[in-house]
Amino acid sequence: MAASQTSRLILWPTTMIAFFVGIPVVVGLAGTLFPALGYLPALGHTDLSFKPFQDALAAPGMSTSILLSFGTGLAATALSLLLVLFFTASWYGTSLFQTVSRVLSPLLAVPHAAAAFGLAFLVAPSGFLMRLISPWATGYDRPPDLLILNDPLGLAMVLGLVAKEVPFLLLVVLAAMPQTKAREMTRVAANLGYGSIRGFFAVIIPQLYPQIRLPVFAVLAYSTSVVDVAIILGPTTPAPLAPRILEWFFEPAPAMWLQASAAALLQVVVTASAMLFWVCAETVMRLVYRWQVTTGDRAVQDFSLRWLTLGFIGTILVALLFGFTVLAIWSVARGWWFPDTLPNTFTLFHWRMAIEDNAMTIWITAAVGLGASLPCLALVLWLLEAQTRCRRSTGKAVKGLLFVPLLVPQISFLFGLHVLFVWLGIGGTYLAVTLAHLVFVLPYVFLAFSDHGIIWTQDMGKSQRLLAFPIGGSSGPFACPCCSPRC
Amino acid sequence: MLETSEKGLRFDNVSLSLKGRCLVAVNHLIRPGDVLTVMGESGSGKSTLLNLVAGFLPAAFEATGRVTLNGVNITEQSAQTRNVGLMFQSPLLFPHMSVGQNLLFALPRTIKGRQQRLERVIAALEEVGLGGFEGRDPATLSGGQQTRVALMRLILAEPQALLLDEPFSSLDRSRRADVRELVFDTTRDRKLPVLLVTHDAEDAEAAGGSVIEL
Repeated sequence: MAASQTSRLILWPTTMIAFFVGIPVVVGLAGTLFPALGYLPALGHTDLSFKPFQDALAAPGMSTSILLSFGTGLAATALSLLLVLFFTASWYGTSLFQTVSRVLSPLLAVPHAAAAFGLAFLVAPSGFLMRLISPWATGYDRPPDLLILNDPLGLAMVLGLVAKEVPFLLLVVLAAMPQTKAREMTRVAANLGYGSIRGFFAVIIPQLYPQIRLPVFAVLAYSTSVVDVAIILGPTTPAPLAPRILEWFFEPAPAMWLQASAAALLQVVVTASAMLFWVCAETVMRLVYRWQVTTGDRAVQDFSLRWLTLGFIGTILVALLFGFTVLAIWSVARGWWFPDTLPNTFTLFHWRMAIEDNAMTIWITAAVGLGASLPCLALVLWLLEAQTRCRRSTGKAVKGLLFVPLLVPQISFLFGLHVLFVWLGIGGTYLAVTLAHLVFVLPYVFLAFSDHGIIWTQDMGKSQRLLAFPIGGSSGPFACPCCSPRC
Repeated sequence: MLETSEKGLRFDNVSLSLKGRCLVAVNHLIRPGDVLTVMGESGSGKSTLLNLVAGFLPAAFEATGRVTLNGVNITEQSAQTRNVGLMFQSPLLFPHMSVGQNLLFALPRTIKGRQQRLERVIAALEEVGLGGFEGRDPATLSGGQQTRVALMRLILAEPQALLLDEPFSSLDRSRRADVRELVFDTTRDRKLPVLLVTHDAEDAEAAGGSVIEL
């Protein structure tokens, strides 16, 4: 194929993706920067100053908020990643691993807020677990005064985040595994006498981690700047940074917008610092690895650690599923007083009210979701098909660009993006909401398709060969019966 | 037990079947330094026999009988503790480690001290004609060189038996004889019982032991 034709085939979808992803983030950040520096002509603010930053930093409990965002984000990311890596190391290749991943993967589709509410109804002092053991074991006939949710250290929030990030990271790891020759390599390690966990960490992770690094950073960015989970499960006095920013944006006094914009940029700094911290931790881990891997220590006896890992993953799974069940029971409950394990009577009243009052909202939500997903699906298919025809894989630059919206805190550029939409005359419309969603849906669609569909393999280190097929196929979760194998 | 003093790898009425169909049946003692060759076309279950001995038997297969190594029944042991070195069809060197690190990884923990471990590895490389290769990236080695490193990686882990899964099939015809000779010299020197699986009659001839055809 002629070179010019090749580049043209790929150029179009790449440019469109760059446009849909790059422009909103850059313009959004700029739209946040100017108000943060005191420049918001629409409200009569035209003097550039650092006063919004000073105001934001002077807000009560600000240092605690910043530390909370930094700490809970790092803790949630590290815990989720470690759980997924240890679980994969312990059980990869077994039927148990397949079963658990098959059950966990669809939980990815559960909205964070729903999962957080489910967990809250489960573990709260008046929650289902406490009801199960009350009053016969605890003696409580009214909910105890325990700070399980919204604890000042953010532990409940960290657990809520872990429960939601584990399915995501597991999917990411599953997608990257075929490129590590995991089955053969772990067998080599086991044959040399290495326990499964140590063997996996020594042999697979150095090849696996570079491939999952960007998604891990996305998890870190998300966890340090999360709003909904923080509101439901997080501390309140003070709250982490992101929910406070949102609160300020919604203050009736528009002057607060300046302070909120400044805080939104502080959020970028907090997230960036967490990433910097992560990079330092990576370096330390690399040194530990290099010092440890050639000592010959086999760590054969990893039986208890393997089962402990399974226990943690199982708990998350059960908690999520159970949380949902409790959520479902609440939705049809009438008069569910503590410490009753189940409601006295059931009713469809809440459902009827919810549907009658929100019929329009439900349709609009679905329309926005479809409106954002379908163009992304088309764009990603277009790009992957063009690449397959040209026998190329996605360049590092495109991959990096696609991840930018996931690496910059949403709250830091959505306000600026709103300013852009207002300027374009579509501010506050559903079109604007849909366009904003595009920015986040595109990377996920790409992630879901690209790694599953195309498997490049190193054949004896000499030639690269396309083993699989453009898109879909039986190995991926997004099997597409209409796309037949090309090769 | 009577056989505790017995040396070698014994197949005690071992048979392998898939969905009720018998693939392999072996009743044989491989003495230290000897080679048993199992010949057969692909799909005949000969690689599965190696997986049975190494502890990687897929759940779909059924196995009866038992395998003992130097008098110890290893049939129920985990793959990690069997002390049986399995040489795969391709060298499968760890791509993120240097040649030297690949070998250091295999060296038992009992050999202590960074310097001492490194010296062992350097000596091992010299033994297979790859002196000074410890700093090299495995990807820069030829197929034959990679196979030699893979052999040494196995040997350094001090196995008590060796399983060879067509380890020469990926090599050029000209190199095959050299590498084959090196492998069998090494196993004879170390008095290791060897189970070789191949479809190449020359391999069987060079091995010089008993042959089972499937």
